[in-house]
Amino acid sequence: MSLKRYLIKRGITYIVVFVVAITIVWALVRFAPGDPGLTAVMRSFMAPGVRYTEEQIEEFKQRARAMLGLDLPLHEQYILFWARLLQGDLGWSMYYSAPVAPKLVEVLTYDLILITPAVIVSWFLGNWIGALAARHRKLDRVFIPIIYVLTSIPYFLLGLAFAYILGVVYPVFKPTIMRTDIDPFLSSPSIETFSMFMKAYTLPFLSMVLVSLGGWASGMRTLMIYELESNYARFMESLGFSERKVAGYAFRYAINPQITGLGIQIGTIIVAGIVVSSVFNYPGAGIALIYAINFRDIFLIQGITIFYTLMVIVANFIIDILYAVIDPRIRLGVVGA
Amino acid sequence: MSERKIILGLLKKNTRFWVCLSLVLVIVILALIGPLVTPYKPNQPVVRDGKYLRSLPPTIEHMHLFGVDNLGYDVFAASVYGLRVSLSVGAIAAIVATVVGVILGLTAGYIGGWADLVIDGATNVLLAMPPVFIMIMVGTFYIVGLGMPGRELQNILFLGCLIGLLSWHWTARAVRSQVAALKVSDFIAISRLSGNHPIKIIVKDVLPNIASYILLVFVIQLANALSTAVTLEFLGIKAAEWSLFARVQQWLQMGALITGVWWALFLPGVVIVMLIASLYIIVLALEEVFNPRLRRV
Amino acid sequence: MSSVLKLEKYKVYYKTFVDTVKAVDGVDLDIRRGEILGIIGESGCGKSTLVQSLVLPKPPMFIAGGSAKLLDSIELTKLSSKERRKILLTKIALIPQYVLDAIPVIKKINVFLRDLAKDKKMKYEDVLNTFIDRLKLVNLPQKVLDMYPLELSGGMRQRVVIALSTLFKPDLLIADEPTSALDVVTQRYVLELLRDLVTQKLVGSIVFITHDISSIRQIGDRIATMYAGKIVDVGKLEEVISSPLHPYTAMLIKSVPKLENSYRVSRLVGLAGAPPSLVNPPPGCRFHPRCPFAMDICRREEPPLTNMDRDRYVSCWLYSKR
Repeated sequence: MSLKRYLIKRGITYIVVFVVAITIVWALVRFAPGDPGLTAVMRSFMAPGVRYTEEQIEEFKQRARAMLGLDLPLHEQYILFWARLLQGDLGWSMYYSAPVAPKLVEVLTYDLILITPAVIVSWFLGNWIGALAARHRKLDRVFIPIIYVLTSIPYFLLGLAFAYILGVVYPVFKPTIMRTDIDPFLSSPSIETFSMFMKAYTLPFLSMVLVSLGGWASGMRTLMIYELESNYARFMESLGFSERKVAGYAFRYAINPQITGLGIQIGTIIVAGIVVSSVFNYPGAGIALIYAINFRDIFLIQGITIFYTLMVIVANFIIDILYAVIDPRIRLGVVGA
Repeated sequence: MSERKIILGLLKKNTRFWVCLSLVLVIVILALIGPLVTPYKPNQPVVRDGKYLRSLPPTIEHMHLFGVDNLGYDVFAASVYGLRVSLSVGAIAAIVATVVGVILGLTAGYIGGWADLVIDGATNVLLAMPPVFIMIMVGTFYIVGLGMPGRELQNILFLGCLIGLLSWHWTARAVRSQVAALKVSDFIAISRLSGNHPIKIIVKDVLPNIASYILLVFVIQLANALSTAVTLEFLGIKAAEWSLFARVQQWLQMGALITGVWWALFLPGVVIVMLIASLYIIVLALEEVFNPRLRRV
Repeated sequence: MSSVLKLEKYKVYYKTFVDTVKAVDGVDLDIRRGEILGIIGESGCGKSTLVQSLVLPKPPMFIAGGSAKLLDSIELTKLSSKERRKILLTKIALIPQYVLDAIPVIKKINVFLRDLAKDKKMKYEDVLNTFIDRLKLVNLPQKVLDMYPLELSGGMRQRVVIALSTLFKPDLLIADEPTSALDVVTQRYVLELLRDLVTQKLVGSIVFITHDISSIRQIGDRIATMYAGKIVDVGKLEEVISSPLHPYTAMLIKSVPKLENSYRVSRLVGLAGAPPSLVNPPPGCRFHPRCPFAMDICRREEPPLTNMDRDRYVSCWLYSKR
């Protein structure tokens, strides 16, 4: 199968997955008890602190119903949902008193700034450390508990710990972040804005990197140990190859499942990013999510879900492309690692 | 040397395994009998000599092992009661995820065909859409009275099942590949030629061979489920009023960080981390025992 | 110097966490320059361990005693890993049993060759040219260089491995069951190839491990029988086969089916019993539980490897004097 056909096939799969996933989300919103969708839209019409008559509430209900298309038969509601979605309309957020979609795009930028470097750094570093631990028995004894403890810490907890130790006790960094810490650097980079940025950015970044690192390292370690015992490794050793060279080949074998793993883990890492940013008040989707949950802001939650599903799928597709390019076995049609 | 003897012998020598197993047992026992050990309740402020106590660091006297938080509650009591909830949710989730995952994995791997396609599709959807979001949506909007007293048992069950039903995909994939590999082996071929019914083959031939694998998978699911449950609590989706990490979130909101009440924020966390890390290391030790290629001589 | 490898009281054990397996328990063997020596024996008699230990002794395998002198100057049992790497492939080479996945599949063969040249600190062009010559010898087209090992059949991969192993004209080439997985026609081809390697002086000597006597019969100069970790019978090929002195050798030879006989003429004689435990070998001669000629002394004392003139050695109380 040629590269192009393979990628097209994957692309179609992803589109199907996306449609199914979004349908599930829609269904969850539509059939939630108490119809929070209705409530949310209604409330957005009502000004706080003002009292309304029975008729006015009824009127708001009607307007909300019309907006959501609740009078229409089910399948038409579904189509309406997709029509709106493809136009970029994700509904109205109660918490922000603004449409969801533009707000999320704002928020997404900040999340990407946090998540993307964190993923890249933790993946590369983690794999390197894991391979190191596999090759050097003495290092391994020390590394194993460190790696496994790191990967066991829930992301928000590490965030809390960092915020406290390095933010409050030894105030090297800022435990609570505001947009004003990040924006200046993005608009006009300079040494001052950079240091201000780093003061805010480092702790959430570290929290994400360290925990993810533990995960990659532990996986890579097991994979490398397995590969170093394989027939080709023994053969290369019997040819007189240096231990480093053999490890290099083993690494190339071991990295494949880690690349697949990256695709699988993207979802988890994105959620982790959200949780961590909530700890630090980092202006990403994290705090928005917490308030959305507390306020029962249905459209915001739905919007975040849809957005991030899309992100996961796109990321997976990119990884598929990379994988197909790197590994000859996929191109030659030989399946299985 | 019989296979079993080798496995037991190797296990005996693996110190990491025993250390971590003991840690897990200690924590579980703590969760079970803790409420009997501590005189305090997690939702009753501590009063001594007629005065409300606040922000006390951990001390041995008066059994404030984890100290008192800035609102006047004993942290150890909160931890112990909260641990029960978290552990229950995690355990239920792990059991559900493993059972569902194994059944689906067996089906997809052994029967294959359209069953495999459907299950694979479902797996892909779950992978694309971070299940945590669904948990959040369901947890927020579908559960009435979440976190209210009186409905703990139902909520724990519900939350556990929810997490479990959204976490089986990893197990199913893993089991499926094992089963698919076994399917083409000779002894299965013989079993089929003998005219055995597929269900019988699955139960008597395939299952015993992947039993050790399923055990490993279960422990990993447990660790993951605990992590998820705890994170959900922190985000506000809790099964009971005194869910531990929901408390932690509250403490955070109340400025525990700034006022330096670190024992309230971190001691419960330390317990959870030790539990999860021990579970992972137990899996590592078991892997080394079951798979000769991973043993470091 | 006519001895390429000289083994004296050579012992190789496996340390498992339960007990120690004495896979090779005191072997005296002499491999001469320009000869093809076959080592035959049942599965589990220690022959693979013997040759593996010469090339790459890795835990749980360890050398428990004795000496292995390569080219009269290199003591294989006392090499540092750096020294060992220097002699691997240049002085001693191994064609492993597991040829199918021996060459790493993720790189093309010429890339692998480049890595090999770099590791041996040689010029890639030189190594490449030598390899191309070898490819001609093993009857493989040059385009093999630009392929991944995945694209080659099992037989082709084996020939690539053979080509690799003779790159630097090693003094000793060890072939571990080279014909086991092959059909008869390919078997013959590989055997003749090995013979040519010696005749054309592309290798010094060959040690040929097999459990199939008929294959060694075609190209061997000398043959040695191995049983339960010890060499029990060594001599010139035709002599050993026409007059097998050790009872075990005799039984091995009788087990080979003869093409022209049907079962009505003569039945296949198998070997009764099973090889002994290598953890706790039986006292005395290790073969005595299965030997039809076992005498009292066989149960008590181990027979020494006795020189029977004309370059023939046997370890059996039938022939050794007390």
